[in-house]
Amino acid sequence: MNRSTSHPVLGTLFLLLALAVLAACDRGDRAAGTAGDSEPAFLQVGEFAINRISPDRTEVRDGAGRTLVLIPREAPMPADCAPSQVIRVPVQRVAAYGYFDIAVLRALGVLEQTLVGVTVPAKRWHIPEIKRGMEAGRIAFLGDAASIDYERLKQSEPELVLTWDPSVIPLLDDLHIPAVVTTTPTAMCLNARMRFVQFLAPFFQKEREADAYFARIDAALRDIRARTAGLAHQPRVMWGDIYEKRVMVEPGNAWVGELVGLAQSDYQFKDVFGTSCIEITVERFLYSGQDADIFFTYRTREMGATSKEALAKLNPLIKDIAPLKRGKVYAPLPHYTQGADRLDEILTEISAILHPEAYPDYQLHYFVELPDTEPVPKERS
Amino acid sequence: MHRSLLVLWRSLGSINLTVGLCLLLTADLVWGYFSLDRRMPLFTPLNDMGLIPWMQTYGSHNLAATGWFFLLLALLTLLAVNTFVCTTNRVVQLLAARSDGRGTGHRRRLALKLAPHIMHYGLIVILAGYLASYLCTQVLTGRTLVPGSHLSLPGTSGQVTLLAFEPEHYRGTRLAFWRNEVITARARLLLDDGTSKQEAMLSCTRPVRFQGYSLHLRDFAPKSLDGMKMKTRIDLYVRKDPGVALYLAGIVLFTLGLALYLYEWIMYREATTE
Amino acid sequence: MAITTHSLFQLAGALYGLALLAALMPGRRGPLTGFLLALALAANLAVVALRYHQAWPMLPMHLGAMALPLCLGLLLPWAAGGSGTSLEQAVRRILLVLIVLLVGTALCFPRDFYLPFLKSKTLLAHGFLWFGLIGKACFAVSAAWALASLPLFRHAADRQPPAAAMHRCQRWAALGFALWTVSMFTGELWSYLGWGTPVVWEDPALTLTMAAWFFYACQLHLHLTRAWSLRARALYASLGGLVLLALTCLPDFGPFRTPF
Repeated sequence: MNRSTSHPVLGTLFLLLALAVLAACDRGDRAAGTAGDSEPAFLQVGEFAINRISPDRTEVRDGAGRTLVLIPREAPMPADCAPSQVIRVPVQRVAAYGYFDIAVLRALGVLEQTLVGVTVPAKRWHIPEIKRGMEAGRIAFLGDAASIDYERLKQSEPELVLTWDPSVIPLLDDLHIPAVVTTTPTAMCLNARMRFVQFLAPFFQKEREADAYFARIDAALRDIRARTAGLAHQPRVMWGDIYEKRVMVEPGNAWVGELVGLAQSDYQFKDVFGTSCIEITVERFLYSGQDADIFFTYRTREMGATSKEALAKLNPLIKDIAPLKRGKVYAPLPHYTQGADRLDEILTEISAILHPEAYPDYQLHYFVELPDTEPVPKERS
Repeated sequence: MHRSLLVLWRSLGSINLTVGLCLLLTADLVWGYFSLDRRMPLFTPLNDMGLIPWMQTYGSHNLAATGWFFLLLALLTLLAVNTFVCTTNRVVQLLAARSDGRGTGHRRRLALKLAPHIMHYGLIVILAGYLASYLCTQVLTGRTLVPGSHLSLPGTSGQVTLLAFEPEHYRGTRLAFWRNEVITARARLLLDDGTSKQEAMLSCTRPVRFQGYSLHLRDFAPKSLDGMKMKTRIDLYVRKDPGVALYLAGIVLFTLGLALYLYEWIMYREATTE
Repeated sequence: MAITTHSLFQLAGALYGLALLAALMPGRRGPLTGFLLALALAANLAVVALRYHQAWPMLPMHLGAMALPLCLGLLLPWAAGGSGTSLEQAVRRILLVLIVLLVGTALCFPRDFYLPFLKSKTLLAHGFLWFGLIGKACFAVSAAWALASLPLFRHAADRQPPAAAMHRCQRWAALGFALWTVSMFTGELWSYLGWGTPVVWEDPALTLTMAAWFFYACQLHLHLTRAWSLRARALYASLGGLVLLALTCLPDFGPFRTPF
């Protein structure tokens, strides 16, 4: 081996390498920066991304890592991608699977004008625009997500399908209908949850509305920070449930986990990382439950979460966790999952549950506190 | 000019440079751990979108979290150059000295002396393989097949059809959390190259190679006999990666060098020490 | 079942602690230390077997925290065996301290709550884990020998020069490096078969694996070329090795939990 000492030439070489790398980045910035408006050329929203290549071409990366190209309605079809990858914007007809996607359409103010198909029957909706739309026949029930009626889907003529189920994509490809997968392998963090509206905005050219929505949620978060800063009591919180012997929880990287931490509270699963509703061992759940103060269950009243007693009967394993014995247990109300357009209210409500002392006289709208025992039916009293 | 080149060549082959680079790489990779931890969405696209597009988007827009990666690229480049120069110098010396001795024993000693250099060249081939992989791989992202549906492989006449998803479910009691879950995911594929058809079985760690592409099982549904009803589907990573052969060759080369080196260490150095 | 695992691991920890105490006591306590160590290893082996029983044919998640003390304990007779010089005794004590520290940390910061995943149902995944663990244990032994060669640990009466200790340090580093490399290659093959790419950026632990590889590549180069003084190399291999050991163990530890 040559033992001669390093030479200034090497320093120069290193510098050149670094410059080459920076130059590559700089070229990328400039290429992406040709969008020419106030919107950022590249925006990452969790596992989603928007890359504004030019005024006539925006590339988006969906939750499954697929790249889709957004072009103006009148623009010629690009030659470098399949028809089912191209979405003409603003989208005028959309079918959507998830409650969250539909709530985001509502936040963008395009729900009534664009939504043409859903996978949940009319009786399970709490959003008045959808109830009205389904009554009027503007919005079709496409069948359950696991058994979509493709004839009805075709008749609805959507220009875009927002879905959490990739199994629909091969058929949509055949029909040349582009689809966006709106769920991700890793749980959405708080920032991604707030900014998802900015991901969907270019599809409808509603960037201004998206920014306004984000600003509203951001203001709510700042208010939460201000109200809870310096509070002495930091409640310990857990969010999840046990189904038979399988434990599902919200990981620490999920938006609820981050919110709990932000609101001066201690999330019991903050070290858990992964997908939303992640499965962990029973032992860990019970260990974390030993000294928790507040437990948010996934179950609604309709799923049996009517009282702590009922929960303990459903899952004898959790009967001894602290929130069931001496703490508080909250269950979501049915409209909670459809209320993401009011994310500011939801965040505030969770904060109010964690710190009632900072929110005097707060009335719950999205969650309900479970009583210790089954409420006595009114008829008897 | 000639003298400058000679100085540059010597400098690039310096052992001090090797030591410095290894230390910098160690520190940089430790920094990388803390940057990568819980920032998975920032780096996952590297697996499919290629190095340059990633650098131009995710990389350059999050320099605080990705700076270590850019430094890693620069350091690895320098290390590859340093390794090549240093080991080539030594190999030339060894081969020049070869004429001094003859016989099987001498040749064996020479082969053993070359062991570290085989490892060094192996490392360079591995790094070149990675570079080729990140620069030239064609990835079809988010490809999903349902029974009966097919996938055309771009630039070929190849077509892949999912004939059936034939999972095996766990029925035992030992793994309570896995009861009725898929324990072996098997997808039966029909590979059609335009002239002939053949079947292939794809599973979680058994990819299928066809028409220059490799198909890897990314995800599937349904995962369980219980729980939410899901339609049958398989999600694939479909990749045409010119770097694979290179880094596999590098691995083989490095392993060969390592085996020779350990043999030499045990048979000669340790024996001498004892 | 996990409570049994936890209790067994507590027992293993207590026995390792007793073995360390016996090794620290004055006089020749070799047989007692050996007996206690054998009991501790049996308990630790049972823990690893139970964790495997709860996951096989998949890979138990974050088993490293519980299996590394076992690997170190099993290597101990070879790592610090021989004529029983004071250097070897020092190495034995250093390794026992390391084992006790590892078990204590694993009990206080467990990360045993993730369930195994389907893609780990391959021998490559198990090979990746075990080659890596044994490699890491060899690195620990190498660091222990380097530490023992420092003046702080060398007995005045010991006539063994530091060079001899450093020679053994290098031998273990070379073995560890070989195993670590095999582990990395096995991991790359597993990654390629499962995800289509040899480096999966989902797991931050891969950067620490590479960091350890470069650290020991550097150590071997320093040794072969004698580029640094013996003392500088001993400091590098001991302190650097211990820091690297702690870092590579980091991904296997979780948040604090009271061990009792």
